[in-house]
Amino acid sequence: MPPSPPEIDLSQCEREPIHLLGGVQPHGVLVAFHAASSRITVVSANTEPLLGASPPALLGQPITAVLDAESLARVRAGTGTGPVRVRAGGRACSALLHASGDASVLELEPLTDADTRVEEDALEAIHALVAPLGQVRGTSALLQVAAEGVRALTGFDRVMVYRFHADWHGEVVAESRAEGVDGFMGLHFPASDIPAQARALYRRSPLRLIADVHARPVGLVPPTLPDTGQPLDLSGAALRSVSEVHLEYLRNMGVGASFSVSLLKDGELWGLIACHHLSPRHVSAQRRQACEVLARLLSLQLGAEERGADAATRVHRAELLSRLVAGLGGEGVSLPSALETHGALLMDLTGATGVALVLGERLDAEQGEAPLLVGQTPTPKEVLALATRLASTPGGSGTLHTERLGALHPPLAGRADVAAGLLAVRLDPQAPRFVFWFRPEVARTVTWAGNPHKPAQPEPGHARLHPRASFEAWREDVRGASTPWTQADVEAAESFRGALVGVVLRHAAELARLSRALARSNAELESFSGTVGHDLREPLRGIQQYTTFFLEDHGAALAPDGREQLQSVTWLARRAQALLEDLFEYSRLGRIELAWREVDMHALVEEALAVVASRLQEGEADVRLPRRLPRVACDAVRIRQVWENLLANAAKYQAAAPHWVEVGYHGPGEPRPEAAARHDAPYVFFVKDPGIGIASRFHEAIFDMFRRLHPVQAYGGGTGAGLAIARRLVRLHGGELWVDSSPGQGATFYFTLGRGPA
Amino acid sequence: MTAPRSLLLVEDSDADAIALQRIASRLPSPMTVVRMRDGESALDYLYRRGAYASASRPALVLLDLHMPGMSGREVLAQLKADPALRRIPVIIFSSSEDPGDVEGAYAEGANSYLFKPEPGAQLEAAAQALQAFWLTAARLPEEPGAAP
Repeated sequence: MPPSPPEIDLSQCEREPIHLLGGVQPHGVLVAFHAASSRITVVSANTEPLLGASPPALLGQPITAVLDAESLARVRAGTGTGPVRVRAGGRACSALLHASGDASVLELEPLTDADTRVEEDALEAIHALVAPLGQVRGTSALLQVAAEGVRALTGFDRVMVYRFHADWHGEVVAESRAEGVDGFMGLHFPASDIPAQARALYRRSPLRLIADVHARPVGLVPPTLPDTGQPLDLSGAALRSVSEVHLEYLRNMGVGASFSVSLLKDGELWGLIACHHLSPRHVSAQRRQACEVLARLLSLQLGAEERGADAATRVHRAELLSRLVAGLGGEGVSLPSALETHGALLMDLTGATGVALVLGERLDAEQGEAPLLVGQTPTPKEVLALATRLASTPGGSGTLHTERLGALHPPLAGRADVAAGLLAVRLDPQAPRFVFWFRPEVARTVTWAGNPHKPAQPEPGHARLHPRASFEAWREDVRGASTPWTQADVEAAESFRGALVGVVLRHAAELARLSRALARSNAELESFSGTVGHDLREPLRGIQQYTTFFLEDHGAALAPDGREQLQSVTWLARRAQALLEDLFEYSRLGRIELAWREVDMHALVEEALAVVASRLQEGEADVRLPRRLPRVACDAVRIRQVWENLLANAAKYQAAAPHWVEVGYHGPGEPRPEAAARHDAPYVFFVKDPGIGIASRFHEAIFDMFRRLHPVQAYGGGTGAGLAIARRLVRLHGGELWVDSSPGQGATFYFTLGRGPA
Repeated sequence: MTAPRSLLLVEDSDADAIALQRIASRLPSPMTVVRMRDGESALDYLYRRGAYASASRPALVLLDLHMPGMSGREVLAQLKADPALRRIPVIIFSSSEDPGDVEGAYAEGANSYLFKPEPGAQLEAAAQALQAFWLTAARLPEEPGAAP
């Protein structure tokens, strides 16, 4: 009794010794004889109806009791080339002979009249099968022609060409079928449908016929060889009966007979020509042989086609690559924008559905450069986390690929929808720079042999095993896995790495050239500001000195207007000198290193107040310090300079009395006026005055270098550099300096500080 | 009572040099100001080389930092490396407010750093303060080899 489906454990198939099942199909007889003595040692139990002699009557007899010497000689001569027509038991049979250990195994299949006719036209049949192959180009057309030819010759209802993928799951790539028969074209079948030892057998012996899936196998007599105690090895036998599991599988599909021919490429199992008939069907050994000839030719042709296709793929990829490199290497094109433009090429290069480029120096989310993403990819954050993991993997400097990214990097296990497969190349062993190609899980890219969402159709006595049940098994198998990356994919990725490294190097060379030019112009600028800072100041000091001397020595002799003119010369020289000094100071700020430390801001403000005390006294301005300022991290010298500047400004631009300057801050969690909340930071410091105020259209302009809102002599005659310098100092700290003011309403200058040295 | 000791002014700017000399001449206790235009001449003077063979050692050196040729800092380094000369106080007198210049000068052993104020009254006040401290309040080392 066949097992009922719930008891069928597909993994059992892997263990079943299918070549030692010890039975044959009932449409022929098997007679094994000792090669040396020619005495019959084993026969199939059905000799009586076909040969007219029972097994006991035959065992121990010379083989000539079955086949006369002349026929045997012809069969022997035909060994290895195919069946030979003989007469046995009074009827026409085709005979096959092969060796199994010490035994010679003779298989006899009675011929029908139709078979006899074909046998005579065997060459013609082969010609009819093979001739169309020459007329078509391309693997799929070739396979289609083969499927049609095999169906014409065998009369099977459905002939499929089934191709194995790298993971041994199969796909129907060509099909010829009779009207009304279900089509399987394009469907995928789980690898477990054809277990490993079955595949090994398919490779060794390319033809298999199951003439009637309902027929009970015929046992051998005796079941084991007397001299070894082992069953006869039937792997070379055409009549070999097949696994009950396989028969059950076929019966569940509604198949009555099955025939398959292995397609080998370079000695490896490439696929099968698989034929199904809805009712039992026998195919003569001659026709089977014609199919085998076809399969061999097809295999050769497939090899050639695939090599051609490989070459075409390589050419195509080389072309993609050269287009990419041309696109990336263009003058004045930034790498990110070029990659964005050529994203589709980049995906095609390896057959991916998404690409991520990680090109920055660092990976942390805050400081790192965002990855460039094209197509379907994980999020930038997920990509950076993946790069972080790969960068920390030993030996992670080369190429890596996986069909199960979730196993390699569990945080992406849930992202099989976009990233089940990863092909990664590292661009730079010194920095975490990668190109990632992603593929979704295969479950989303192929059509199943069966609809997983459709309930199984129960049949009387047992549920259908196929396609539903085994499909589910496979679906579990491939969940979270992408289609595999081929050698060609990896090669293309590596070529791209080579090309991209070239492009990156070119960009780097360009950057280096620019940075040299910048360094040179910086050095020139430095020597220029050195000149400004000293050599130009000296003559101005000289002018001031000499006019002073002149006034001291000869002032009394001058008329009042002469004295005034000389005083103006002094004033102008002093002003020019102040401008130079501010310019020098401002230019120097680009190069300074901040000395961060914890600073008592209150003490710092008091120091600054002491420095600007004379200005405050001049302006008769009271200083208001309502509460003690906190301790914060900053460069004390620079921030004191900021305070001095803001305080001097506040003292300068007072309006009607009373004059005052208020210094304060908004601390963490304290309510802040809207103007103070413009830039976020734990502390916002401010300097407030009730003075003349600034129109809002000047709120930014006042921070421009040498930008003045008032005549030179008004309000103490500043150079207009102070606020520019103060803002630059605050920004060096990572903070911001801004003003809130309106004319006549006074002004409040706010500033924040950054987090400290990076 | 020893003879008024001299002050060596190393200064390339004529205007500044003349201003200091004018101020010095008006001080309550006038002092001799010897002026050198560059670092090389200053060292020749201090080492009594060539034309300065009979020069006396100054009580103070007032040294500009930014000069053509040898910089003030190099002159300072050389003086402070010489056991015979290191005891002479060196006061840096510079228009540079760069903290690096201030730090560097003290690192080389400068005795003080004065920012050159604006010409006029402020410069005069600085000169007076200089004299009040270095030539009146402070005790200076005796000139080596000079008779008491």
